[in-house]
Amino acid sequence: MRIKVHPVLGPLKGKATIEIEVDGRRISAIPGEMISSALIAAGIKVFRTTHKKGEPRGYFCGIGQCTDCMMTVDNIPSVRTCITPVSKGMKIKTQYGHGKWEV
Amino acid sequence: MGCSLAYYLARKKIRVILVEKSHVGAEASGRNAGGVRQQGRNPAELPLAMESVKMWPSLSKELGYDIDYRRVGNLYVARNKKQLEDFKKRVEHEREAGLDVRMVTPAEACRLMPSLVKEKIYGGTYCPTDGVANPIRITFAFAQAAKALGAKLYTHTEVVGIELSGNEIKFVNTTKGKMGGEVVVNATGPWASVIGKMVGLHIPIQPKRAQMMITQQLPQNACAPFIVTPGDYGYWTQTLHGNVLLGHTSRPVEQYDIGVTFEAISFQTQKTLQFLPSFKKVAIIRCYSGLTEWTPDGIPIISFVKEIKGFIVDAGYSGHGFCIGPISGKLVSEMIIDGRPSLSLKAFEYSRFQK
Ligand SMILES: Cc1cc2nc3c(=O)[nH]c(=O)nc-3n(C[C@H](O)[C@H](O)[C@H](O)COP(=O)(O)OP(=O)(O)OC[C@H]3O[C@@H](n4cnc5c(N)ncnc54)[C@H](O)[C@@H]3O)c2cc1C
Ligand code: FES
Repeated sequence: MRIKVHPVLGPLKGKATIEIEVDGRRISAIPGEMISSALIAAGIKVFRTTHKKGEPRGYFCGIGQCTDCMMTVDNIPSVRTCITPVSKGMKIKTQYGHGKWEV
Repeated sequence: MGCSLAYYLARKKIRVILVEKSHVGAEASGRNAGGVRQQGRNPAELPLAMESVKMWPSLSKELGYDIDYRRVGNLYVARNKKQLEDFKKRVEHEREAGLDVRMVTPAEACRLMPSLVKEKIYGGTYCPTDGVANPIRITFAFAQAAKALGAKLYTHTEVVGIELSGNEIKFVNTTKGKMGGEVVVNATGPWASVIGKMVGLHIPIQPKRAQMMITQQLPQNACAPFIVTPGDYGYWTQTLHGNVLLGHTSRPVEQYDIGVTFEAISFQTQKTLQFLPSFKKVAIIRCYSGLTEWTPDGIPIISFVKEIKGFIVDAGYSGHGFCIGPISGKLVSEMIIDGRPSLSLKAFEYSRFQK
């Protein structure tokens, strides 16, 4: 889902010209947008699960404050996807608990 | 040191007053990296560290408070040939003293700490019985346990003077009035020289500042052992909750200032990225500083002072006193009770600086 015409920001600018990888699946993204926007546009709602109860979490505050949207991005765990812009070929993984440290 | 000593004295039914100018664990004892390390010490301290490590595992239970002690191991990493040569000599001595420590190859070091870069290191030494604990918790645990056994704790109370009559202590003047006792222990870390002046003693202990940085929470294998690399570089360790602490070697400081500096932040992040490049995108969430307490020879003063009756100096652990805290409290309590500490404290006499 994308908002095509925003009441304050106006019409959507930019085109989905790059690809990123989410759990091995390739999705398209608009250069400059945040990872979370590209995920929501692709219908992905669950970004991670909590480490104690394994409950699903996704986009919540959208401004980098709540850490609900954390995922493993290019092997770095717990990256806030709502404030991290996409880049070509970026590899994103759903994060289970604190994730894995793979270097 | 003060809280540990208060506990071991109170356990022997000795009446104790603990005076603290701030709150319990306000300074180094509550601010350090939590390294419970035996390897890489001055040989004089090694027996104390090894005995202390025997005590750490049972402290949570004994004190009735979880201190997050874990035997995660301690890994010293050589960044050049010279350091590796020094390590070999040290390990030989430490093994002779009975410490379980061994040399590791770069590949083994990387297995223990996956973020190390094999091509950049020459090897290391690993001590599996070394570990970490939570400094705030252990200091608080000792204080609470001492209190439960009858010790009197005066926090937010500062010692402002000491009244002498000849070579005997009449009173200790504090911001909450006069106090006193048969024995007075100066366990004020970097402030030991200030207390020394109150009784006319020169105690050669200098403060330095060490700054720590804390990363976001990471998976537990991000920094599994406590990592040290020699020279003016740093150390790295991970808390139970997953935050990695980046430690900085101490720098001279004016006026007991524990502010944080941009220089230290920039130094530490640069060194970390050279050494552990995979931390590049990891977020730093906080930083803070603490004061370390240096004697000229880098080992503490733990002794009575012949000039003043009943006056003990128990300070100057020179930036690595956390591990020894439990045994130090026990030994000083024995020194006070019957003058016979169960391990020799000869190397730590105050008189070594009077020659
Ligand atoms: C950032 C940092 C990291 C460290 N990392 C490690 C580590 O990983 N492993 C390790 O073994 N060691 C480490 N250390 C060193 C260790 O923390 C210290 O050696 C140890 O805590 C010293 O304990 P202490 O009780 O002698 O001193 P402190 O903890 O400094 O206690 C002295 C107390 O005296 C009080 N005081 C001072 N003057 C007065 C007065 N006039 N009246 C009343 N009270 C007074 C102070 O408020 C303070 O609470 C580190 C230190 C720092 C700062
Ligand atoms: S949604 Fe709250 S931090 Fe990203």
